[in-house]
Amino acid sequence: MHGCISVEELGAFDALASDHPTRQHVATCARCEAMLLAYRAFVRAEPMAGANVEDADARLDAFISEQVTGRRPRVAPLRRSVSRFRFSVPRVAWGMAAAAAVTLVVLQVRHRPDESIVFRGGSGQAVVHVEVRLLGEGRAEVNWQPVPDADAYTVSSLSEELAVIETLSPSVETTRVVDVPEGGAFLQVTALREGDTIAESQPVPVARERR
Amino acid sequence: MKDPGTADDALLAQARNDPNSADARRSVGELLSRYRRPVYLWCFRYVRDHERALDMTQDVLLSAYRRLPEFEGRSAFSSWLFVIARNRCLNEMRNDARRDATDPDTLFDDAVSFDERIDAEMRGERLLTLAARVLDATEQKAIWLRYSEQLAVEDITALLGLDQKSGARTVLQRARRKLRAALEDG
Repeated sequence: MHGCISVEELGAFDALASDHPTRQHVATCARCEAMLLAYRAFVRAEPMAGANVEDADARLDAFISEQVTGRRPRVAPLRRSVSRFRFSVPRVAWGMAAAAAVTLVVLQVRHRPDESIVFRGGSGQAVVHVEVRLLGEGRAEVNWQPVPDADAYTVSSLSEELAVIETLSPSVETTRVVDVPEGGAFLQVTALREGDTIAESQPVPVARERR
Repeated sequence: MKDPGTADDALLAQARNDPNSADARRSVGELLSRYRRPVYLWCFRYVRDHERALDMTQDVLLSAYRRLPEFEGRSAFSSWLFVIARNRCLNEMRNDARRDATDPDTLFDDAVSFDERIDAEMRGERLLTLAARVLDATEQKAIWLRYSEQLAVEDITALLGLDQKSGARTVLQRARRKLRAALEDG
């Protein structure tokens, strides 16, 4: 299969010169041509019978707003364990949780919530403890038990409204030091396998000390 | 989607300029919004279920958002995202296949077992060599799209611009017959 185009190269294919070796290879390789046809169909995004693109657009826009820009969605979020959890808990409860975390930090007691990893896909075979320890100067050390089948983890800082503020790059480590950003109220650990999320912790309150 | 490359690059540059700023998040949001429909329709193509396709799209967009710091810009953003969407869809199909494998109605279905054999062997050099030898170009592409990309027959018909009446079904049946004969011979 030497000379076959990788999936990631497909986007640059149309810009290749007509005599480029890759273009010549694709013209004679069924596998590459099939991949190219699939990629072009993806980009064209032609309407399909049974698909509801208007509803999808609206709900995905709300999801993107919530996750990326931190704005609260105007329409119902999608089905998802964490999303349901986020929108079913009153904000005052989160405030109380954060206050409890502050008290724990003052007493120099490690926060150790039980069963804090939520498994997606219904496997639910593990109980994982997430620990958060404040290091001072807005930094916190997070550690957790390895999740079966996970090949990397990320740690996200969330606002009080549980919008993602920033996310650390994936790493195989199960201990990370996080610079808690301004407005960061919770930390959340995400377990990945081949880049896909397989488990997420519940948001763990973290109090950023006052200066 | 006109000239997505240049505009995507500009949004990515803005996002990288000051990753934690509100402007950067807006740029990332715009970039993901731009591709939400292609991703949704790609997922829908596999599962033909609106809610399930939305769930999968959400996973893809979230995965892309979280992995964006890893994206080095050596490929187009659209093809990078396509990799994530494609993997998500193929994983979903594999999970479905595993569930179907426990269905007693399919255990002794010869067509299913031969399809699985093709599916398994698509990864090997042997079937590739064999396909190149015994199948014509359209049959090879149809086999690739069906067994490697796991696309539905009607989608393959459209992608290959085949006659709607018989479509890819006839092409795939012919290709399977040829492959079966070649595999049994060799």
